[in-house]
Amino acid sequence: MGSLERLEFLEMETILSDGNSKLWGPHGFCENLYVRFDKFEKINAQRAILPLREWCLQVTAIVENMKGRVGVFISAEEDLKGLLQFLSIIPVIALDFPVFTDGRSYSKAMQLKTIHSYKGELRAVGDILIDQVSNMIRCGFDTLEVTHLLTQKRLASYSGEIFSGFYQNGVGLFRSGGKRIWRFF
Amino acid sequence: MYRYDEFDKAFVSARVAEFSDQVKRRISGEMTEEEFMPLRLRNGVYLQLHAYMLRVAIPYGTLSSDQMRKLSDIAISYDRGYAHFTTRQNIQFNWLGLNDIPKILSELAEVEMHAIQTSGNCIRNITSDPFAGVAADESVDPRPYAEILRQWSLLHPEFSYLPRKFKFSITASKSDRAAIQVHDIGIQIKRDLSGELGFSFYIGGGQGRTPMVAKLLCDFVPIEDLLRYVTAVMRIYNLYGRRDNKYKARIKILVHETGIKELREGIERELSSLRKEDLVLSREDIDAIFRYFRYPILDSRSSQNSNFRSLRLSNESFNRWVHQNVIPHKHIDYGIVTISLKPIGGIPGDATSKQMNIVADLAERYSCNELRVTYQQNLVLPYVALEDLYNVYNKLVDYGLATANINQISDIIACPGLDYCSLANARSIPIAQEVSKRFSTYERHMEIGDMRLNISGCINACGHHHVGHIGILGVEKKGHEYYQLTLGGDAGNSCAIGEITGPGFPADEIVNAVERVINTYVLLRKTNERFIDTYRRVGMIPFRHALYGKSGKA
Amino acid sequence: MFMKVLTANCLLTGHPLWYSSDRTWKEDMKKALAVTSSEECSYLTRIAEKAVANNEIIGALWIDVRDSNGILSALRLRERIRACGPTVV
Repeated sequence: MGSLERLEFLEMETILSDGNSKLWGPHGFCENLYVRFDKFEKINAQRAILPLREWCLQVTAIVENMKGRVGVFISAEEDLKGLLQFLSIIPVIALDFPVFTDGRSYSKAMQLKTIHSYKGELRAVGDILIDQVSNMIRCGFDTLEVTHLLTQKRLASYSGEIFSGFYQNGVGLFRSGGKRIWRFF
Repeated sequence: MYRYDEFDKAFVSARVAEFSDQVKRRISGEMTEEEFMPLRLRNGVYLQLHAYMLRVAIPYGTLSSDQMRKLSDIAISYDRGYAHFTTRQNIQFNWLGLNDIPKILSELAEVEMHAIQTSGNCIRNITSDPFAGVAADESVDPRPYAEILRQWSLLHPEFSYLPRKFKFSITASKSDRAAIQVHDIGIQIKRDLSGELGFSFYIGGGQGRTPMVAKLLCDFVPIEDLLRYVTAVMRIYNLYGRRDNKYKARIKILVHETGIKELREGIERELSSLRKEDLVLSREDIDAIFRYFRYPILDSRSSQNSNFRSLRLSNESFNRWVHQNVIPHKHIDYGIVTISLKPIGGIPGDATSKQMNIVADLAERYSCNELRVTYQQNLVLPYVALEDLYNVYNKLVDYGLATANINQISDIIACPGLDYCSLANARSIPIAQEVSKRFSTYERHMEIGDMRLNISGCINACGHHHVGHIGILGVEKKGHEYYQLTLGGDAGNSCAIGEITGPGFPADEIVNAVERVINTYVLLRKTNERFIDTYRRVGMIPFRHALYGKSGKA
Repeated sequence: MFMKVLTANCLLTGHPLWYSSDRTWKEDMKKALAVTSSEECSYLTRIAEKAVANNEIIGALWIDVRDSNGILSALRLRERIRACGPTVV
């Protein structure tokens, strides 16, 4: 055999996630009303979420049949541009965190909330660990769809204090104590 | 220097509590190493070859006597009695255990220090001119602005998971002593013709695998737009910086691949999309930060200056030290003292606990309680009365801190290298020691003159070899240590990346090679011409011939 | 001839460790268990996986060594420095 390099140690992923996701917001766990579909014609629920490209392709059908009940899923590498004109009729935007180290969706959240004044539900989905929760809330996410079991457990006893005491004020949902300009957003 | 207010103190305490919890969860197994690593990195905790290493932030290189004493205590209580000052004005402890780190961070918090964001894919320590606030050639003290950037960047919710690390440097002098052109963002504060304060904004400098000199993004941005501007740039980088390849993830690659013109347009679009009132830096806010910088009131000490002058005449070694290590101050009765951490044959940038305590005492007694760390891995006493220099000098001599070699051949920048660092391919410290010993005499130092010799133990270039007048890069070749030589690098205003001379040299040949380069320079130079200027005039060829012969072979 | 030892770092101290002939992880490379067959490697790999899962060690990997008059020494300089400490005082 050739020389072994670094050993791969498989994390015991099975106990970390059982595919059962819970929707959490700063007021606690809540019901997830939206079902993910990859195609408009497959939708068989009252409220749905479609991938960005499909949503834009199907905008006419959505407006005619399900106006205000179909949200958008935006993957990490996708751009917001195509969506901006439709923001007022999009009830929920799900921004993806494919791995927790991929921070692109934080910027999109900030843009949606502070520049485009998005009024719908901004949802974080994907690889969400407890240590990113306060960043997400401070960037304007309203809800987090969490599959990581330990994170779910920790969120159950999460207190609102964690959002204060930062230099940057975030999107105005949680005020921090200071008064300087970089402590306000 | 900046003094924490209640908010700052509470912030650091909360972070210590948070990280302590994360350490506990890691040790109990609740958290895997994969999950823990980015979290420990953003608290400055590395796993190196021999133990955990903690990199403590020294914001823009400024610290107080009390802080230096605390660092000395930590070195004695938790480490092996010494620490290392880095090229980003931080300090590193090499021999720590994971369990001790929450306690250490707690102790650091007591003196308003922390290790937040000294590692990881986030905004790192904001570095600045080590002579800020006391240099004669600055338009304003850049450090309050560095402090604003520091606060803005600490646990910024949007910019905590960047494609890669991000380094800012800020200066306010015509002469760049903060290497701003090899930083991801380099800021030079200046005044326009009407005296209004603003800044030049450089982007995409960096070293490592693909060294690049920064490009000028904008020549003059009004000071109130500082945070708007950096927000726009960081947002573009966060969204569009590459995440597919760790070696192509810095902003310099984004600049290179997108082109500065197109990138500038994108940044300006982002800037104009920000809400008008967001992040505008008001006069009020700037004044508030300046108020938290307590500037010492310097007494006039002129009547006794003649004592200083006669001591210089009568004591040759004191005279040499003043000439080489002390530079003029804004205040005519004072000098800026650089304490050399480069004793001949010593380890560049290292200091023992004892030395740290001595330096803290000197700062308290003679320098208004304040110290600086330079990116060249030396220390500075920024407020020493000329009349006190002799006492300071003698104390430094007693503790091996008075080598009169600043900016000369033995004032070497060297990373810890393979002796400590798990990223390294070769050792750098022994080479630094050999170079230092080879040119150890005063005569040789003066003959060579101004020389920046920098050594890195791997391509990550923490030793800044790319911008050394002479740069040495350690590589591993067929299981042995080899050293590549570069010439003509420069970290200042005429920033340049050094050029490789040719094939590398084995460990027992590299110092001979350096000597051949030096001798060639001495032979070819005009009167008073520095090495770097001779190199720029004559080019690489004469040096190549000296190293490899006319055939070009080593 | 292939000869390897298993090395890792201690989670708590960060110190380098080597898997020893007495089946514990030790801070002394001289006591490391040298293996010369792929079966031994596979077996020890599973031991290491368990130790990682138990949070005793991190970052286990195999390194090449040679036997010089009964004393084990790593082929790579990096590993020799890990075993002996920094070469500078």
